Amino acid sequence: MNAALLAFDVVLLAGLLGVAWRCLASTDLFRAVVLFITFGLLLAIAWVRLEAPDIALAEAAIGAGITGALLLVTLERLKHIMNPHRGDAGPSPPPDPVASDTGNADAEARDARDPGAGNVALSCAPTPARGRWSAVAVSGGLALLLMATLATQDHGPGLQPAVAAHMDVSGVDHGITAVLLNFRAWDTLLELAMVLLAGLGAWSLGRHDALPARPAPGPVLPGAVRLLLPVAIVTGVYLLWAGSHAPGGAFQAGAVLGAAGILMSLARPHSLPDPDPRLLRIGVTAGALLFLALGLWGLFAGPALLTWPRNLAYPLILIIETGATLSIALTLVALFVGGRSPREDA
Amino acid sequence: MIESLDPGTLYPFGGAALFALGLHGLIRRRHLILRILAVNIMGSGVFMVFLGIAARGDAPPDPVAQALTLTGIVVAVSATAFALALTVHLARLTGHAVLLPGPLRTHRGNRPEDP
Amino acid sequence: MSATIPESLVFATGALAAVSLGLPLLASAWPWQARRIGLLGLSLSILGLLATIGLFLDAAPGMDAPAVRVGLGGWEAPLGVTLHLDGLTLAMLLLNALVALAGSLYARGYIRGSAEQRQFWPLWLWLWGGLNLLVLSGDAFNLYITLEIASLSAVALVALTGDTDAVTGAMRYLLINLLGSLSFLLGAALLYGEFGVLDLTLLGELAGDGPTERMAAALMLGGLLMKAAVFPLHVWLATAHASAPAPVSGMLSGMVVAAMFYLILRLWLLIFAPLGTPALAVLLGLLGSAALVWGSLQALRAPRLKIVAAYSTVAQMGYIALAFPILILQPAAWPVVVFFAFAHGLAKAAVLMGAGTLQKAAGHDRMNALGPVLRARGRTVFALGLGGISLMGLPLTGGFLAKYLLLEAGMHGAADAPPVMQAWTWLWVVMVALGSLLATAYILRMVAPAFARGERDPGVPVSAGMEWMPLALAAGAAAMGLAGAPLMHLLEHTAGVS
Repeated sequence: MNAALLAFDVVLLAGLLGVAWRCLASTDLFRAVVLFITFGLLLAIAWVRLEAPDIALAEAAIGAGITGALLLVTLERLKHIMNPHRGDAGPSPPPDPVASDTGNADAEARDARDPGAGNVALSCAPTPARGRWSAVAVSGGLALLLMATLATQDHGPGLQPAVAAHMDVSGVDHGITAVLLNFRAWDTLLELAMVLLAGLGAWSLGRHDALPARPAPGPVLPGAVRLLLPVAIVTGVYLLWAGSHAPGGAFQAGAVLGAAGILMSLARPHSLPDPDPRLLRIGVTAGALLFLALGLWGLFAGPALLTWPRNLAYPLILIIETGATLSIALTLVALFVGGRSPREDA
Repeated sequence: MIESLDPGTLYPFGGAALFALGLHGLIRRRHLILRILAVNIMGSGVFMVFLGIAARGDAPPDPVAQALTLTGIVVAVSATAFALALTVHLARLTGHAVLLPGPLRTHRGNRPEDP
Repeated sequence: MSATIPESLVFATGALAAVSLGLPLLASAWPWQARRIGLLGLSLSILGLLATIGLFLDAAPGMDAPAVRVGLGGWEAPLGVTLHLDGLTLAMLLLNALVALAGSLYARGYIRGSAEQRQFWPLWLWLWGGLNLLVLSGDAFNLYITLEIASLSAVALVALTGDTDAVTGAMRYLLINLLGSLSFLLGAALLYGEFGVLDLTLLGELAGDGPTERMAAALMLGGLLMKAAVFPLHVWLATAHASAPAPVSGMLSGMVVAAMFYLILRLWLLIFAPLGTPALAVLLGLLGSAALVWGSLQALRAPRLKIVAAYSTVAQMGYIALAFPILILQPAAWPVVVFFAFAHGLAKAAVLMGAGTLQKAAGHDRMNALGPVLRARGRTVFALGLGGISLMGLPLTGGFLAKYLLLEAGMHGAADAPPVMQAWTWLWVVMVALGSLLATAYILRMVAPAFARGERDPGVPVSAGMEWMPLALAAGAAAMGLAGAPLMHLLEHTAGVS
């Protein structure tokens, strides 16, 4: 039994390393992204093996799902930038030499083979061999040093006993949620700030354009969205609520709701509401603002910022998680759409 | 021997290997998408070390290390999202999404000043 | 919490953190008023900070702990996240506030279009707030998030000018930052694996000089050295600093690299001090020497003013790395190093913002064609010169006092040190002198055309803030030579000082 599990672990780790290697060695970007999403899903399995179902859920939803969607839409945009005439009738323009990394002949040949077909492969040159061994020496040496260090470490219990001792006053029944929203709520607040900041940064770079042109959606996607949207919303709300006593919580719920928004924008790019930029700004900030505002109570009443009164801890945590979920979902959709609304500059 | 190789001991080694593998990709590859993927793989390596540490021994897994990982994943996706937006922005300006090594064109003489 | 720490200080610590987060949040929610929110908030926060410094100096001698530690949420370490406030924290908060306020007043005239302002101000406040939160944090994992917040906002600000150089520089800066942060985080993971805590003070009590500490120190300090642009990890700096909007350049050169240096010092003082060996000291000193010489030479041959200023930052970071050996040789001398970093932070912010003013006025910053503008803009030239004098370390400036104190500390420590360190001390005296000489050369290169005969042309009119703020910062740096005692007094109350 033990040996079988050990074998599973070894195979899983080897698989992860192999997929990561193939991903990073790839010369076809689309392939690299697909391998990366596979990598994320394999990681989720690894997290289950490490008794971390919450993280597995987050990895699948955020690490593989949202990151994957962002990567794919980025590839679409890059393709569009490098070959703006794609989809035009008639002969395709000559392949743009800068479209490939350093004038990679292979990629240009591929471009030429698919004139105007709309599936120009985004590729990049293989890395030149010069410096290969020094890079291998650096990273290999680092890996060995790290492993040697890890091998010397003892098996401490970490902070598990401390968390267990304080669960009864945390306001929730799930250890990770207690850590995230109570014991280390400051980390979570700053993490919300980080999500917001990514959105602000992307907005500062320019206005959003329409999503890149894509083939007219067939009947499948809108139909599927009609079915999936309610399911996603129910799942999101369930995850949010479940977080207090079981795997789940604001970030997973936000990711699921964000994914629903992304699906909707994919299926019907022109029916997405273009909200008033003022409302949008307030929407993406509201989660963190609400969190901080409620936390100020502890600053004045003592003992410190972000203290929840014992008997109010559960409702406060639920309110904060709801706000965080909505802001996260909104920011994720905004990041997918791209830059800021043109109306903001008016 | 097999007893000592519980997941909590084994996986941190895998995390170390992933970190180094990602670093190798970051050093070697020039295309920004691949570099961003490499950074994400490095991050996954760190998370694996954290979660492995959390699962060490026979006690229930350490919720603090797991919570840190969750936070880390969200921070990583935020940074990735911004990096991708910056990549697209750079590609709009230059026509490619590659950072070539060596000094940049900072020594160019004239440049119209900021908008 | 120690009973002797007054409630008012605990409140002030929490309030500083709340304001550092609240101001950028408000500005992000309502960018249409972000400039007003920022200027008003920054001014008020400086008043609050000065009051806190007063409270702290009043209470510090009677406190039985070297630092105010506030467990957020009412949870003490190791379960909760701790804010850490001591003399070093307050000094860095003050530097950040001063550079940010000067930069804000400068930016009022520099960032003109209302659409640009709406993007600039929230990010600008995030940079200030993120650095404040970094300085206040006393928890290894929390530090990682604050590092990411500070670097993401800095990168977005660099990219804001929107030209190819700026965006390329921003991209490179982002990758370096991500690498540095992850390296830091892996170090924190190793420490957590060994000791089961993340609080810096508790880690300091548990850590010795085992393999985990060594590896963690290499990863964390290496990541931070990369972000601080210490040679040979400095490649990104010149592009990012030279192509960013001028107030951002000032903040990057004046405060951001200083914050990374702060964190190196904090980790060293609290956790990694037992790892100090002469070999490490010499290695860091050699890196510093290389940065000093290389950065200065680049500054001497760069064709553009802002690039000269940016390379001078590489050279100055080399100075600071030169000072690391003193921390190992004579740990009690570190307040001098911070004093030095403080004076140089102000001076570098002055030089970079002054360069930005000239660039804006002339429409370019080619060294060989700036003469007419230099001759017509005496105020800005004076700011460049005054800041430069502080960088050179001429008498009566903060830079001079800092170098004098550094030399004294080095010589003092050398008397009973092992021979290798004595030899190092002498090399070091030579390097400090050589660095000053090179700094004189590149500062003269910047301002000399102002004294040549020729036509005068003030160029495009610039706002009052763009004229006066570099001067104010340079005057501040110079004044530290005359009135540095209060800062040294503040720095004496810092955790980890034996």
